[in-house]
Amino acid sequence: MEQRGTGLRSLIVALVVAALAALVPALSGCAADADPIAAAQAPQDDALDLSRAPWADVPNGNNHIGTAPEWPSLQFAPGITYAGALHRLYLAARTGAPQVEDAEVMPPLPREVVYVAPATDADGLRLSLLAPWGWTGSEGAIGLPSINMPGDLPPDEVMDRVREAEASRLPLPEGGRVDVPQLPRCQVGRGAPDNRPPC
Amino acid sequence: MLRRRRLAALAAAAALAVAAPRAGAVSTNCAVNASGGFINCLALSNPTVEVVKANQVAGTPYRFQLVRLSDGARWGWWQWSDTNYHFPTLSLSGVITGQVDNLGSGTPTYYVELN
Repeated sequence: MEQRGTGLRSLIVALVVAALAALVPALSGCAADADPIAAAQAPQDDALDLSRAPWADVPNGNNHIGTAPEWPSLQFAPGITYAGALHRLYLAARTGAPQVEDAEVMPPLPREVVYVAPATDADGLRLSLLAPWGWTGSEGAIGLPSINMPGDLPPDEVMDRVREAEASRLPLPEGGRVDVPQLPRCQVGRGAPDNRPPC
Repeated sequence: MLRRRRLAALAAAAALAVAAPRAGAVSTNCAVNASGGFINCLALSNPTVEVVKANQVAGTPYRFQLVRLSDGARWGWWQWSDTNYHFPTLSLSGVITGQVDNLGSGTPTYYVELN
């Protein structure tokens, strides 16, 4: 009897220990998740590999708006224009930076929306990373970045500046600026992604 | 003696480096009729820098694209309305042809360089 009682107690103790052992990792996991805001602000959450973006990774020609994998969008600080957003994005892409200056990663926009213009001065522009340079209406080809330099320079001077920038690992040559495409109205939301004419 | 020879060899190599043209760079001034669609201007294997410029205002707006004719791969088009230099920033493999489509008027020329 006494042995049976001892055996039962041992079994109960073993079960309690096993249950506690199972609970410890679960509880420690809860502790690790206790601060989701801090976790969301960790640098790795906003890290981008822009070399794989559909406007940068193009070994076999343009990607297409209807078939390219989904990409997030960027919410820029108030006051930054579309041109300013493209400039910052281009610099990040050329330097391999994992983040874009003055921008926060946000969920994707609808595929056909290139950017959402802010409704008020207190809001920021939201730019699609799927097709930040737009897309062609007839074929859906995702636009590719380009830069420009003043047309009054001689060609040799232009190429020298490009080579100097490459040698110095500068994202833009002296006098170079990122091109800003003229977009059809249907690719730009006004205050909200859906506030635009249909494409 | 050996040191002097080595210095002479280094100096010769440096002189050659300055005098040698950029390997593989090609450029042209390409005349393109308005409304004629995309016209081949020049081609180069494995370009890393592509440049285009409308030489006259009459040649604006215009479109530019890069094509690998062997498999039909295409990059662009880009459309511009000024006479600045424009650079798609692509490193491409294969024989790449630069094409211009004149959306302006007449038969202006376009400076195109592949490097």
